[in-house]
Amino acid sequence: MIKANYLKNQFIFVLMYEDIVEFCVNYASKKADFVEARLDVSRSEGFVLKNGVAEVSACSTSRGIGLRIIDNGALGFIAINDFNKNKIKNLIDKGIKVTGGIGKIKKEINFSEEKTNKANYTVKQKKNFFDLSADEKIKSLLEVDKTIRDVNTRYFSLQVNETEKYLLNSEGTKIKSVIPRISVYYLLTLLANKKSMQRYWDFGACGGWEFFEKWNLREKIRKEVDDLKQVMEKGKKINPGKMDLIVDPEVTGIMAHESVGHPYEADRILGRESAQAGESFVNHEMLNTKIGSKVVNVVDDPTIPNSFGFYLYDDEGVKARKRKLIKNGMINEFLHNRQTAFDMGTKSNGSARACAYNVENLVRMANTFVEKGDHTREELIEGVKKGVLMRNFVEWNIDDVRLNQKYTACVAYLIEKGEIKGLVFEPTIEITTPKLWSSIDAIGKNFELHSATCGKGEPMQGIPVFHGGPSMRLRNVMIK
Amino acid sequence: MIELEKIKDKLLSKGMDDVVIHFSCQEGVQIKFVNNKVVKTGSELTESVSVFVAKDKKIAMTSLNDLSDAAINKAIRSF
Repeated sequence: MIKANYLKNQFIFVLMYEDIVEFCVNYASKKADFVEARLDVSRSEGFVLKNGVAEVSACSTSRGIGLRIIDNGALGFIAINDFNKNKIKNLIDKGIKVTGGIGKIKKEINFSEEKTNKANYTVKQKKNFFDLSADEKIKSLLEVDKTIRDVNTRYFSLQVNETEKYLLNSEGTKIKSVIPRISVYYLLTLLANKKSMQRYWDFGACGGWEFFEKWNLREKIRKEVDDLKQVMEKGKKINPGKMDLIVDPEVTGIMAHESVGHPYEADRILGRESAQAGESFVNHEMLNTKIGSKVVNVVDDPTIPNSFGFYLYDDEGVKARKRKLIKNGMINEFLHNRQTAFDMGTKSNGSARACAYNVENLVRMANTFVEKGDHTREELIEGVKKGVLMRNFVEWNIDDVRLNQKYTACVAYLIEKGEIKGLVFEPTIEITTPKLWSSIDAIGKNFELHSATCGKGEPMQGIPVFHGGPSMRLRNVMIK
Repeated sequence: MIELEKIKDKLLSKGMDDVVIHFSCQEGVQIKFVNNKVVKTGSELTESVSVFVAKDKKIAMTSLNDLSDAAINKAIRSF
């Protein structure tokens, strides 16, 4: 259960600009059938370290209002960051004129009927990252870098931002929120024995500097480097063939995100994002049909406290909830905003997200993961006569409709007669989505969530997400 | 119109070796066409300032689209 901190005083920018947001809705409501205004103020800082040298420090403030209107069945989006009321009036008038002028070639836009919500919520930073100087933040990255100076090339990036939002629509929904996020990305390249290997990963959370301290990056990344060196020194290519495969949480997470989360985005299914994001092999008629084995349950849940994809109300003001995408191997529900929900005759499940004031919300994932099973990781391994264990991945690839994909391991081991043997060098699984989820016979009790930035849309919108789950065992799949 | 010269002078007086200021004002219209229908029109008016400074071989940059005096002064103080 979420216990949001209701700290009224933290709405600094909302208090400053709420009269402008209300002016937008009141003015546009006189001319359009539906109006929604979203104030988005985001303060951010970023730092980059390359081979131990601080390259660029950046700070920025983005502030503006994005308005959506429905006029005579046509959808218009208007974005402005100049809060002069005359300029706002002019832009709204122009926007409504453009929208109203489309005529017969418009797609009739309707939104699903949803409960109006009024709520305020903030996520508190225990240790505010804006209280630390730029030098202190760079020093923290340097301390991590210092532990892996033996790596040939090292890239670190630290991002912090706090986003304050106020969403108001002509139906009466009013949502105010403050969400801080912190993330570290790194990319390492190692060269040895005429081989090269790369490793990239993200750490991210919704909260303050306390997460940077909790991640213990120095030890974790040092361990990763040692493992990579072992793979480069001792890893052997596997003889291609059908065998069992165990994937650990990092691999489970990318599989869930790419082959379940994305194809279940209803705007992809309906073709709205086909030119930019791609389409989906899934269609509306496939609801309640089998896609995997009975042990498979995949969910997307924005309400996990401090998760990178956290929110309690989406960017249409719909209350967020856990979405059961695959339930006992059956396709159970898609990710919806109000528009796709209307088109498929259902309700929104709160999946509308926008990364800034000047872009419209799209159907997005939040925290997508496979739910825990009842096996220990050791039991999964013991049940394999011949196979591979993929601990993490270095590369993945998936087609436009999210049907054919491959995942290449970074650190992987051979399993023989239930025991872990030597290291394997970059084994790859190539498989279709239904085959992947149908090949799973057992799921672990272990569980991890990892952060990432998911890209979609034109203009591109990077959205913070988690993906993950437990270890999973796949039977008799092609590995090469 | 914001006074870019004033920002430049303030930063140089703080001892910066190099200062680059970029101001842009953009007005645009977008039409999104899907499956032979217009699914969305977009209208945008954006003003923004980006500032790059170099001092002692270190580079810092900031961008802001809140162009009030208070926001600009705060950005200058951050360098």
